[in-house]
Formats: sequence, C-alpha cells, structure tokens
Amino acid sequence: MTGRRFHRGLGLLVFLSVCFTMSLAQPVKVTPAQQRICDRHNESLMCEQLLREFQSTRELLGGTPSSRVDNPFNFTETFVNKAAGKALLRQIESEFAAQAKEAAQTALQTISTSAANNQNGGAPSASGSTNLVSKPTTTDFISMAAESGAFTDTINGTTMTIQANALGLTKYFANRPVFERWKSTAADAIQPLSFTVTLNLAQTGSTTATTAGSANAVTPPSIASVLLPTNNASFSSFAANYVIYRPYNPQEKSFLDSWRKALATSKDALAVAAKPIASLINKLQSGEGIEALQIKVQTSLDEWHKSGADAEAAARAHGGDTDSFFEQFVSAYSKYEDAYTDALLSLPNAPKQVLDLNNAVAAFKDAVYTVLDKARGTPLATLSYLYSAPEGKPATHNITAVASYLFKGDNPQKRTPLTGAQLTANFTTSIYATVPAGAAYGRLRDFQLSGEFDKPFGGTPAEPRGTLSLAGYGQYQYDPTVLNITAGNLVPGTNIALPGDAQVLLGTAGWLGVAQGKIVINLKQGLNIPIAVKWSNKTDLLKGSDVRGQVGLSYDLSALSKLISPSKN
Amino acid sequence: MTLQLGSLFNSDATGSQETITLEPSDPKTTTQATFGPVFYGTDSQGSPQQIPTNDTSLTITVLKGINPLAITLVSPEKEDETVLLKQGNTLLLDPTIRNHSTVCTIVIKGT
Repeated sequence: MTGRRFHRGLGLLVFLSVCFTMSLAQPVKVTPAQQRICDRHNESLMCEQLLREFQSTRELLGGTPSSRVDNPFNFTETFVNKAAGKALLRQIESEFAAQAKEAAQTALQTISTSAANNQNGGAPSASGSTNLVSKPTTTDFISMAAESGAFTDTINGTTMTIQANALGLTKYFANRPVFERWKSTAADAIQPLSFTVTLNLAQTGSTTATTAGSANAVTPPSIASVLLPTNNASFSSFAANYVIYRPYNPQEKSFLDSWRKALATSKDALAVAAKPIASLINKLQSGEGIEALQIKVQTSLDEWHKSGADAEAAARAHGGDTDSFFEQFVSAYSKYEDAYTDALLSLPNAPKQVLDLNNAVAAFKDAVYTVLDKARGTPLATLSYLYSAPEGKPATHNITAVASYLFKGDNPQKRTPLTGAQLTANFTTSIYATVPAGAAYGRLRDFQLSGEFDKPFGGTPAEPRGTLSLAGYGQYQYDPTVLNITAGNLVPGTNIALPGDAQVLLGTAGWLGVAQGKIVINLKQGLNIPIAVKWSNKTDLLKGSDVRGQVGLSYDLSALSKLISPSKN
Repeated sequence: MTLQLGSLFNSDATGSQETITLEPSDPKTTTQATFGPVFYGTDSQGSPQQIPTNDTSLTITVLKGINPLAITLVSPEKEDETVLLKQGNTLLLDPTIRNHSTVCTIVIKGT
C-alpha cells in the first residue's frame, strides 16, 4: 500500500514537473491579432510578457496568486515611457533631469573626443596643412585648426580650417543635445556628412592706391599711384565629406569581439550614465514608498488577479481560439496598470522622479547606441569632394576616396604594439575648374595616392597622450604647374601689359613624392598640437628636393559639452 | 534560500547570496545580450552601489529592508529581443531589449 502510494505520488510529481516544464518551455509568439488586442488596450510594449503570463499555468492560476507583471515598474523602461505623459501633467519642470542629461552628455563627449585619429586640420592640398593623408573621421560638432607649412607647394602657407558635422550643427540649431541620438531617418542620413572650409591666413598681396600728391620736395610729382602691401585671410578651399559606414552583422564574430571591447572601454562612461537611473529607482521603489504604494493598489491588484485568473481558466476550458479571453486578460491588466500608475504618481515627488527617470533612461540608451557605433569601427570609406582655389593658381575640383583599418588589439585593458594603430589610404583625382581657350594644359591636373600609419602612445588606449604618424604621398601631374600671374609676379622693370587671365607653366610634369613624420600631442578635452617634418623630391613650382617643418593647433569644440547643451527655457 | 516571488516585491532572508542569470527566451537558444551596469543598495554617501557582474550572471547579498535591484541590459542585436532573468528555474522577469538596451528592476525585501 505504501509502495503504491509512493508510486502514485511520484507519478503526480512527474506529471506536474512535465506541466511546469512545458509551461516554461513553450515559446511565446505574439500573433498579429494578439498584438492588435494589446494595442487597443495601450499595452503594445507589454504584449509578449502578458501573453507569457496568459499561457502560464503557474502564476495567477497558482496557489498564491501573484505575477511578475504585478509590479509594472519592474519593466522600468516601458513603464516610465508610458507613465511620463501622466507625470508630465503633474510636474513640468525637472531639475534632476538636467543633471542626469548633463552626466550622460559628459560621458558621450568623452567617448566622442577620445578618438585618437580624427582629422581636425586641412586637406593635404591646403597650403599649411599638416595632414598628408585625409582621415575618414572628423568632429561630431565643430573643430578648428590653425596650421603652418606646405607639402607640395613651393610657398609655405598658414591656414585656418573649420570643420562642422551636419547633424551636430542641426541639433545645435534645433536646441537639441548634440551628443544624444536623434531617432529620425533624416538624422541618420545626414550624420555622416561634414563640411570643411579652409582659409589662407597671412596672405601677402598688394593693392594699388592713388596718391594725393607728393609729401615733400624731393619726391617726383609724377608718382600718381603706389602698391600697398596687404595681408588678408582669403578663401582656400571648401570640402564636403560623406562617410560610408561598414554594415554590421550581430552574428559575426569580429563584430561581436568589437562590441565586447567597446563595452569594456566604455564601462565607466555607461556607469556614469546609468547611475542617475539607479538613484531614481531607489527613490521610487524603496522602503516606505513601495509599502505605501502596495496599500494604495491592493484592491486593484486583487481585481486584476481575479479577472486575469478567470480569463486564463476560461481559455483553458474553451480551447481553440482564445483571443477573446486574452482580450479580457489584457483589459484587466490595463485597468490595474492605470490604477498602479495613478497611485505611484500620487506619492510625494513621484511625478518629477518618473519624468527624470524617463529622461535618464533615454540618455543611457543614447550612450549604449554610441558604444554600438564605436563597435562598428572606423568607417569603411569616406567620399570627399573638395573645391580648392589656391592663391595664384587655377581653381580645381578634387574627388577623394579614403579607406582605413583600425587595429584594436585583443584585450582592451592591455596595450599591444598595434593597439589603436590606424592605417589610412587615399586616392584623389584633381581636375581644373576651368580651362581657358588655347591652354597648353589639359583639364585633368593630377592624381594622388597616399598612405599613413598612426600609432597612439602614452596615456590609456582610450585616451592616448599623443599619436606618432608616418606618411607617404605620391602625385602624378600631367603638365607642369599652372601659375596665374599679375604685374606683381613680373621682375621689376618689366614693361609688359598682362591680360586678366595670364598664366605660365612652372616646374615639371611627372611624379612628386613626399614623406612625412608627424607627432600629435593630445592635450585634454579635444586640444591637439601637430608638429611635422616632411621631405619631398621637388615642389610644385621648383625642381630640387625640399625639407620643411609644419606646426599647428587644433581644437574640437565637441569637448565644450556644457557650452553646447540645449538652453533651458 | 531563494527569492520568494511576490506582487510588488520579492522576499528573501537578509544576508543570503542570490545569483540571477540572463538567458535567452524560447525559441532562441543563445543570446548576445549582457548585463550593463547593475546597482543594488547605496554606499556610505547614499549613492547607488554598483555591483560586479559578468556577461550573463550577477550575485547579490540581500540587504535588510526593501531595496530595488536596478538592472541595465545591452545587446548588439538589431531586432527587439526578450530575455529571461532567472534564479535557477524560477523566472523573475522577462524584459524586452529595444534599440540595444533596456532598464528593468527587481525589488527585494530582506527579512
């Protein structure tokens, strides 16, 4: 008898275990009809959870009715997103939200400006540029650089380069946080677009001025006009760059490795962004607050348990199409959730805290999205159009393709010889904007090939103290260099009348090669000092090798996150 | 001792060590989702206390009183993904990760 009882008991246990396992193992797949039911009851984002509960035999139908959906706050993101509307009616202003957003902005700015290999200075063709090779990434907002030197030009130049990201500027003018993700197809489309304007500084020239007569007796009265030296800033070039990002596959091992490394290197920034969330959750769900909440919602909770259990039981008894019972179930939960939300928002300070939490969750999600972008690695390629109008030379249109590869190393915490190193290659073709009638040169000016290896050093892999670069550049020029000439170019005493578009050919056609060594010192918060030395086998106007130095100063305004935060109304 | 499921909060003996795991939900058998920063309790200054996690599990020591376990989850998946937070075979929460991350809470009363 005892043995039979034991076997019966064992059989029941096995049966219950199988039922239990089945109820857990059953895949939950929301049908379109069930999703429409959830949508009707404002439970769109909880549909899968409610269906899992509806299909479970353990919770509302169990001995002690309770469900993991009983505390809607547990699904914090979904809950605060939904409750924010009600909370907003009770509390408009939120000082803590500003603090949470500011903390996240700081984290995002750190991620943004810690990239070692952004290009802040001018393109290689700009006189004064310290960049022999164009990089695929630029600023997220605005950067400025002042540089002095020259690569292929005979004459040294001093330039000011201003770069701006199209989305960063748009966000700024729209009074939106510059580093927060703007969820819009248009925003995604313009994010890879940036513009660059380079100005020639310390540009020497002359202006003819009519005299008002001799100032003393020894000056010949025949001097009616003189040349005045000028020193102006003038337009050098304009460029538009569009970055083509590498498509990513979340199943690909190399991408997953990058994702894990990006998470590890951004660990501290994510913790900074998540801390305000935890702080607000502590305020909303701790100690006396939640006990007071339970008292307020107990009646609604009991009603939901009863109605929910009835709907579940009826569905099991009925079998077949159970959508009508699922609708009763969702409706009962929706009523309870409304009561819960009202009760929570009636607690002291809760509306403000819910709004703040909603903002903090959004800021955290933006931080994670930035990490994802980081994991996608350097862009596959950048296409760049440059209109260049160098002083004394015909204007050109230039099209450049930039490709790069970033060496990441295996362990983000441990530096290897190649950690953070970047290899970049450029191909550029340049054509003259206009070719005058009877020109002794063709429209195609040259093509250029160049490559650069950058190796960050010092500091941490995420924030190196500097970058050492070695670069090579080759330019094949189809004709000698064209130089626009004016009376100022003529040897003094030459008495030749020049037409407005007079040009001469100087230098030689063929290959021009440049090698460059550069060190960029990274000061804190987006400030860089590039110092370079270059050797070339000739320059554009003169034969013979040339050795020269270049210096610069660049600043990425993205670092000024507080200045570019949206203004408060 | 394990977490005893309740409506607005779960209960457990103060000082118990409890491990919560992150698992894929059926029909998936693997997940790329991992824990992001997780906080439980406060430090001496009253700031949230971050607790160590590995990719798919975390262990807490239950504190006295009612304290929320604030959990962030991150995933590189392009599609929304529901994951299961479990203690042993017990399902504690089934949050959905949307747009690469989510935030969820498990409230625990230490008795």
